[in-house]
Parts: sequence; C-alpha cells; structure tokens
Amino acid sequence: MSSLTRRSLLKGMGLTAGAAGLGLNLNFARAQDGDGPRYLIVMAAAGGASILDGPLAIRASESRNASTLNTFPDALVKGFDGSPFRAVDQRRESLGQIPEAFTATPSDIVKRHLNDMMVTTWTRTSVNHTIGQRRAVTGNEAWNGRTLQECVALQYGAGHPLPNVHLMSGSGYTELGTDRSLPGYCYGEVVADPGLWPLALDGARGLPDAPPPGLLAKARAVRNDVLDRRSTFTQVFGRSPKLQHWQGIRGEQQQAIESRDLISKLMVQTDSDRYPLRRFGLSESPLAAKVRGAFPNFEKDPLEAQAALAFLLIKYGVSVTVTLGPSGAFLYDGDGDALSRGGLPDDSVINPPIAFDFSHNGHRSVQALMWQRLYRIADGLIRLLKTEEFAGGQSLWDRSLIYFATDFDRQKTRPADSDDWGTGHDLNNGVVMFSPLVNGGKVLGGVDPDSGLTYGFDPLTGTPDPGRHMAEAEVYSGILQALKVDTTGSGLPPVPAMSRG
Amino acid sequence: MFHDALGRRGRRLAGLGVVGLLALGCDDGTSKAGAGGAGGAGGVGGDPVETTQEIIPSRTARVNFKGGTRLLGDLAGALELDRAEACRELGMYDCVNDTHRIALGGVEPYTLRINDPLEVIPVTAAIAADRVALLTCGQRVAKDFDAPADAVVFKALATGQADAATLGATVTELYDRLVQRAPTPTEVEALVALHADVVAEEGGDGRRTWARLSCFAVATTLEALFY
Repeated sequence: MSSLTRRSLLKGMGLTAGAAGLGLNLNFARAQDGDGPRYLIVMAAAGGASILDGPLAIRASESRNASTLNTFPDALVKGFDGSPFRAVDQRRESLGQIPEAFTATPSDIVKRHLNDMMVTTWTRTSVNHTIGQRRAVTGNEAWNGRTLQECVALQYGAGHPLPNVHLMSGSGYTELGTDRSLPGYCYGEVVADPGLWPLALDGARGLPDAPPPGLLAKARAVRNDVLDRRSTFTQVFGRSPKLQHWQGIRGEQQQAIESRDLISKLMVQTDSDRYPLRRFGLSESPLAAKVRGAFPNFEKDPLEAQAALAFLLIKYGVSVTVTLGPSGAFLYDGDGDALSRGGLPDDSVINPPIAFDFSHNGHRSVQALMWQRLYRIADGLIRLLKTEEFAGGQSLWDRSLIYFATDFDRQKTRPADSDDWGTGHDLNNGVVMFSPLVNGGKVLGGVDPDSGLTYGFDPLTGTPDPGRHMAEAEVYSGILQALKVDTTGSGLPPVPAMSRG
Repeated sequence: MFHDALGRRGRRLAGLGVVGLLALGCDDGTSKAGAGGAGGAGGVGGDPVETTQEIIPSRTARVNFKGGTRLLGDLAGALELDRAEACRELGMYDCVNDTHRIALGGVEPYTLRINDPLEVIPVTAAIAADRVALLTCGQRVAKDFDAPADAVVFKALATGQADAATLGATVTELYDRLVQRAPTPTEVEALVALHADVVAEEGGDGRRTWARLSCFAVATTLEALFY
C-alpha cells in the first residue's frame, strides 16, 4: 500500500472514529510515517510573555521614546557576538507589590542555546487570554481547528501509547481542537499530577497483594469477552459511542501501556514517606536521578515536575508532543511567617500569582522572573534531550522543538521613566522557539525601537519586511513545516523561512 | 435503573439454581438472560430463566460513564466499606479525590482550572477504574477472609469450600451487590471457570484471589461503570 493510499485510508478511518464520538482508538492500526517522529514541546507562557522583555529587549539609547517605552538601561541588556538576541540581567527589589527581591540572569541560558534559538514576530488577533492561548496553538483555526499538538500526534503518534500529553490543564493551550475527525489518540491526555499520574499506567502494580498479571489478564478476558459481550446491557446499548470508546481504550492501548512498565519508567518521585514506592512494590524511574538533576525543585515546583515527566514521556517513546506551563497559583518557597518579618526571603517566589499576567501589577519584575523561569525549564529539557540518542547518532534534541506559546503581548509603553509599572494586553508580539529544526540564531522580522512594535518578514526568504505583520496562521504553519508535518491539502501558507536548511 | 423486583435472597436462590444447571451441563453456550429487563437476569422464582425475549438495541444508546466519585461511592456502598478508607493509592492518597479524579471524569476548578469533565474519556481512565475496583474488592476480601465470622460479602467462601455451589453463590452475591441483578448462567459459568485458572497458577484453594478477581470483573463491567 502506498503511503498516500495508506494516509487516505487512515484519514477515512479517522472519520469513522470521529463519528463514533472520538471512540475507536486507531493508534496501533496506523503505521509510522517517514523516518521517525519529531517532538513538539509546547511551553505555555500564560498571561502574555512580552518579547520586549525577552530576546528583543530595546536599549534606551536605541529609542527616541526611551522614557515612555518599555526600554532598559543599556547596561542591563546583554548582547552576544554574532547573534541578534538579547537578555536582560537584573536585580529586582520586589515582584510587583510582593516584597521579594530576586535576581534574574537569563543571559547564561540564552548564551548556551543561541544557535538553536529563533524569534518569529507576529501580530495576534485577540487580547482575551483563553482565545489568545487557543489561537497560539491553532493558528486561529488555520487547519480545521486542529491544534499543533494534534497535528504532530497525527503525523508521528502511531505506535506511541499516549502521543499527546497535556501536563497542564484548564487553558486555551490544552483545549481540544475543533477537528473531531482525527483518530482518538491525537487528542490530549491530561496529567493532573505528574507525581501520582504514573499509577494510572498499570491496572494492578503497586496495589497491596496485587493479583499476578496472568490472572488479571484472564479476569479481564472473562469480563471483556463474556460478561460484557454477552450482557443484555451491552446488547441494548452497544451502539453508544461512549461504550465503544471505553472498550477501545481498555483493549490494545491499555495493554501497550502496561507492557511497557511505564508505572516505573515515568515515576519521577523517589521512595519517601510521601511516596512509599518500595512498600508497594514500586520503584522510581531508572532516569529519575538524572531528571531530578536537571529539575532539582520538582517536588516544590509543579512546572519542574511537569518538565521532568515531559522528558521521560519523550525519552521512553510514550509521547510525541507534550504541553506544559506554569500555573496561575502563587508559589513561594519559605515559611508562612516571612511577611511578618518584613518581606519574603530573596529569590523565594517560584511563581507569581497568575503567572505572566501579574504584569498587570508589575510588568518589568514579573516579566523578568517569568522569562527566567521558562528559560530554565527549556534549558533543562534541552540538556536532557541532548544526552539521549534517538538513533543513528542523532539525539532526541535533534528532533525536538520547544515552542514558547503565549497569549499575546503586553502594552509597550510605561509612565515616564518608571522602573516597574502595570501593563494591559497588546496584540503585537514575537514568539521564541528552540530547536535544531528551526532557522536558529535568527530573528525573523524585527522591532521598531521607537514604538516597540514588531514587524514581519518574507515567509519564503525570511527577509525582514517593515511593512508586513505575520499572521497566526503563518507561524502555525511554519512550526508544522519545521517539524516536517505533512500539511498537504491544509491550505496553510508555506513558511520555509522558519525551517533550518 | 435496572433493578428487578426480587430481593437479594431471591436472587441468591436464582444463582444457586444456575449452578445446578451448570452441574447438569445445561448451558448451551448461547446468550441467556433472566426476566429482569434490560439489565439482565431476574432469576424469577429462584430458577434460572432461559429467556426467549428478543433483545432490541436502543436507537439512541444514551449512556454515561459513572465517573470516579459515583463509582467509588457505589463500590464502597455495595461492599459495605467506609468510603473514606475504601480506596487509597500508596496507602494514603484517595483514589478519586487525590489520584485519579480527572481521569475518571471529575473536575478541579481551584488549582487545575478544570471546570468540566474531560470531553473525551482519557486512555488512563480504564486503568484507573481497574485499580479502584481491585483496591476496593481487595479490601473487602481481606476483611472477610481475615475475620470469616464477620464476613459481609464472601462469608460462604471464607468459611467454606471453593466448590461450584459456593462459587456460584458468590457470583450471585457479587452481581446482586454490584449491578443489582442476578447473573445469567453464562456469567456464572465464566466466573466459576476462572477459579480453575487461579488454582492452576497459584496453587492452594485460590479462594481469596478468585474472590478479588471475580469482584473486580463484575465491578468493571460496562454495566457497572455506565448508566
């Protein structure tokens, strides 16, 4: 069967599954495409990561409106030889109104990954958080409303037990796409708690006096093949898409998950009073120590826990796309009495309330802390992925793309010479990616230092074009093309400028 | 919704009748149902009923997954366990509230911002449901076999032999408690036959493991998980 024919057939099968209410899981019926998977890591910069506080920071000396524009004292803005990127290293005495001093030194991380980093400018279409988030992953519904994650899962997810995993929830980044014709496995699997979630990857291991696997399999077979198949209930309601879906997920896919020992491989937690793994016959992941080395605060910081699990999901061939991001909860590493002593300890806030959106209260400080937070997570993932071989001398990183998806930008102006101020939402922005697959070391488009507004580029050549603004669909398309996703028939614009080589 | 008109005692008698039929080799392998309506057998009058009624598939087939809260609540109630202690992962995390809440169709608006159940039941839900059933059934089995005189569900098995009659009566008890109907002969036969597999693999009389697995199998049938 030719690949074209196979794809057509599978799309047809997908339609059937969709008609069954996203029911039949065809994950193991669909052959693997091409030379193996690429991996998409969506890191949600929820609340609005301003590109002007990240790699496109403007030095005050460069702007005619430095006093009222979001510009930085020249001395704070670090540049890198031969690179268009910048990073702002700064010491802040508070985080908005939160009395906590902290230091941000993103330049160390940016410097390490200059060649794999790319900035693409774009102008968004909504300043509503959820809508902006959704459009960041659907390109404003550019391809039947499929999310980037769903596209990657469709292209590369075959044979992976859980191709598309959402390690964060409750956001526009993790909503279902609107194209319900995809096979069921393309839609995101939600992980509510990276620490306990691996327990849901085996039906019996870790239970007291668990029955032997062989007997459990026999009991399941009795249930599935006799009790259910022949019950009056099933005969009466067997057409239900929900029943069919349930029967589908407890078949091959469940067996594939359990047979891979994922309950162990993905267990980031170590044996402890809080997680008494050994007492229940479980153990930590063989890579747990390595992962904890990259994300040492994984027990305190849910984002680090997400990142640790994200790496393991890719490493163990469970997923081809993972979505992670900071929550909107205030996280602070310290005791509850600190405020009564006059302030929080230095560098004790892990996550501000509402993440980047706390820029409403203190733009400069919040952006500084949050950019550094995302950079650190990306850095940890990159370092881990670089150490794991995919095949043929390629590392997993060679096939991965980290996309800092964000809702929109923040206002570009400030009260004259303010050092910290509140900002609203703005459509015009840029977006950061890290990947050996993208046109690394480049800013596609540019920024006007007098207005802070970004401008676009020729999608074919990458030539900056001050008269152009990039649409969400173009960036969406460029990401898919960098990941070598087959977009035939999608109507998406070609954006080869975003791909390497 | 599928309750029949019989009391628990009547259905137990029906189950014993089914075992009797099995012993006589009367199961012809065809689908059999009692007179209990869509839910299955009713076991009228204590005798197994070979129904001849035609099963008409529902046109709309509108059923819903119970979800974790209802599932665990039903299981704890059916097995007479304290809901708060019925199911704990790693001995400390409530199976539904702390561990599998979202996978099993729950919500958590405060920190996870999941205001509605997931639109698509995730792959891990089926595994999570299996764990919930195995844990709760395991608890009941442990309590009943550790103190047979006070046994609630598995008293006959905990105090007696694993013969066909006792096994069959236990299956009837499980169906009565978990899906509120009597089992069909086919269902009894299939679960009784599982006992031989348990003995073959584990040796001994296999009573505890069989009790747990039978409870698990019935508790995770589609009929028990959906309404």
